[in-house]
Amino acid sequence: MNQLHVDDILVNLNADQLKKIAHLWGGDGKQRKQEAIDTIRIGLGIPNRVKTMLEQLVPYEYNALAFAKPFNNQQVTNTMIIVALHSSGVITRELAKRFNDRQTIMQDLLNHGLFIYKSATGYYSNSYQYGAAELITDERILAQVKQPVYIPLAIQPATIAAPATYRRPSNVTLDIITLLQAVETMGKIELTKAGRVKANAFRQFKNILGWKKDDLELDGFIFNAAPTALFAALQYSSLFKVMPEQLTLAESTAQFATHTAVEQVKILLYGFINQADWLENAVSFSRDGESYRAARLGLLVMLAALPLDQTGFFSFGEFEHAWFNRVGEHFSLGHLTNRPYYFREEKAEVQKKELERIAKLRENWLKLERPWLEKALTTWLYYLGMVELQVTENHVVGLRLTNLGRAVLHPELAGEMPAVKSGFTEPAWIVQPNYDIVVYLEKASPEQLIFLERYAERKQVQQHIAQYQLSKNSVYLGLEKGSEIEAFIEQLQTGATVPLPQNIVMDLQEWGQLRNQMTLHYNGSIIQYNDKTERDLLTVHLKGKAVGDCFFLLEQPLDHWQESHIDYRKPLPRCLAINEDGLIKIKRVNSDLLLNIQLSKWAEPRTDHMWQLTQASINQAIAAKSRINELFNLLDERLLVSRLPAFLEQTLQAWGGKKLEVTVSNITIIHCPNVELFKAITKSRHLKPYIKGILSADLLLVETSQLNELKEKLSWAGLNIAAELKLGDNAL
Amino acid sequence: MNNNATLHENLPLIEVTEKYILDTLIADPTTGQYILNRLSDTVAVIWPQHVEVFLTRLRKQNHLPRVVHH
Repeated sequence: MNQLHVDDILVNLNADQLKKIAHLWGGDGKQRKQEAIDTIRIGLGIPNRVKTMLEQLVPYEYNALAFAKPFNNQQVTNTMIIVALHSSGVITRELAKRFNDRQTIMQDLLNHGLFIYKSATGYYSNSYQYGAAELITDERILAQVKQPVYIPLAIQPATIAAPATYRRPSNVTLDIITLLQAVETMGKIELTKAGRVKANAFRQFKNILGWKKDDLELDGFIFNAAPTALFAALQYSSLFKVMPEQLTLAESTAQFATHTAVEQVKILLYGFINQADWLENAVSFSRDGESYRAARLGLLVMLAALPLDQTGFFSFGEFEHAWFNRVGEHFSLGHLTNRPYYFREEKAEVQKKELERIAKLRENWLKLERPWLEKALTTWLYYLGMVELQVTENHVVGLRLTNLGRAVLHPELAGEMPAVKSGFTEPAWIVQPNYDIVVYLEKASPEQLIFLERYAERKQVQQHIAQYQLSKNSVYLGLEKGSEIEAFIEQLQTGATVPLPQNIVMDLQEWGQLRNQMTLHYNGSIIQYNDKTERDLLTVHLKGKAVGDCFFLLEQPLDHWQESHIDYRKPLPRCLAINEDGLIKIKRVNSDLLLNIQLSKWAEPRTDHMWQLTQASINQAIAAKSRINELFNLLDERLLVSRLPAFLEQTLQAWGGKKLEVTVSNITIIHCPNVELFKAITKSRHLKPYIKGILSADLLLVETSQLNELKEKLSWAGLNIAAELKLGDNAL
Repeated sequence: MNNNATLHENLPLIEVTEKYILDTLIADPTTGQYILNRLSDTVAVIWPQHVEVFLTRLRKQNHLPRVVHH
């Protein structure tokens, strides 16, 4: 329950409103703001005063609180309350005349302080508040609110010749347990920053349940987009705890199984009502989630208003017409035409126009609300085992509440439901030699169903029995959740009506032994010592076992360790130095267990702490299908200095197979520092054949083979040819 | 005081009851490629970044390793 006390919120309301609210708690209507607040606070703090206040409420006021209560101050809207009130029949025609519209009903409720509006901009007690607003109320009031008042529908059971179908409580329990186990397997459900479930979380949910299709076939009914609907129902139920960017289960599947079937269904029922991620069928353009939530609550109230003293089937047509009569003028999933204001029309004219208006509303209802109603009955209400339906030519023609449905909607009847089976007290299945398990659902307790869901694969479910199959993999995965084979065999036998077949027992024991042969320590802790003597001396008081000559495998991680420590979930220590020749030195004394193996893949060992990269060692690694980028990543992660020497990097690229070219040849350089002379030489047609290229503003490249000829020409030109090159600024 | 002793934490390790089991895993390329080094006859270190793949391979080969999360 959302523990909301409105004490600190009251100060946000205006003084006039507070005076009206304080009147309900004994105030005289003339108090100042703070006095009114104090009066209300005192009243709320005394349970007997709250009880007295509730006893003074008229039915529609009490009902409004009763309908809001299951939602725990989460997203209750005025539309939901209004539709529920009309559906319950407590808003009679006479009362409806006093209330011109829903805002008048809401204002009445607000004036009495039964609700306060909460919106993004603050708290209000004015029904004309614009924008999205929720209704909240003090939990001390809700705690004492009991069942709403239902005015029974004036319909009688009909004789309808059509087959009927419903889901048994054990089938419903089994399905809900399966959903919860899927969520338990996920661990947590990740949310986006906006609070929506991440798409991959939903995909994982579907994969765990083996749902490949979007629709679920239920006894001939199609539950459209069932995975979306069921996931949303779970998400918006009280089964989840909302944490930053994730949802987790508020209780385990085993804890959930201890609830009665009525309690289990109720939890999921309000999840279905609350959610707007899935719609029964999108009958209006707006796809307004609030309208659908209101419709669902209204439908629930209508079902609760079915005559309790009648056990026969009611005509679907009469039921939906009865609902229209109660809410048709006040609510629509589409657009609702407001009642016009009649001014000076004759009474006969008003009556005529009213009949036309109602007829139009009815026409729209048959197009929108009636198909929606049928869909709601054949999807979530049928899934939850609350209704039994008669069907002709794929249409619902008759309905009634199941015993489970009656108990959910009328808690005073919950005693009619069979007591919850618990534990493994009654055998409920037969294990066959072919590994099939036939389960008698009426005999199986929720704990037994959870047990089977954990260790076996469900093959099919019928009304009275379910079939599972044991396999090596299913038993193994069940054991991996925290059990041993002997305990499993014992529980399997306890739940069986006849002794387990001998071959089953032998195979299970063999599977158990296989599991004992191999252990994967996912995140093990192991201490490395210098030698065996040191290890044996220093581990006397530690829990674990000796491994090899110098290791000790710990049973549990250590709380305190002051010596050298390497955590393999974090980046490993940088400990390497490398030079341009490819010589790698390990600088850190206690290196991790990965390093030498990683280096041996790419380099040749020189000493304990030195390795050499060579073309041969690189070629060997490449031939073994490694890629040079893996070496670069390793060095990037482990070098003390972040960058490789540039020339070594190019060398490794080349050894790794990259084509890198340079050209080497004999060439002669002519240095001509005189700018005019340099220009003249480069432009000379006479000297052009000898010039290979221009290196810079004063350097020319010439073919060595033509050097002597060029020297002759330059000598002929009277130039002084020096033997030694003086580069000046060009020198490296 | 444990001079020069090193604690290796969060290290994936495979431990078997018989030497031949680990010999088989190492000899098989589908599993051996994920085994980093052998610490003893019955214990070996698994490449940390490949532990999930290694586990999947073990299960596909009908091994039933007990997975321990410390």
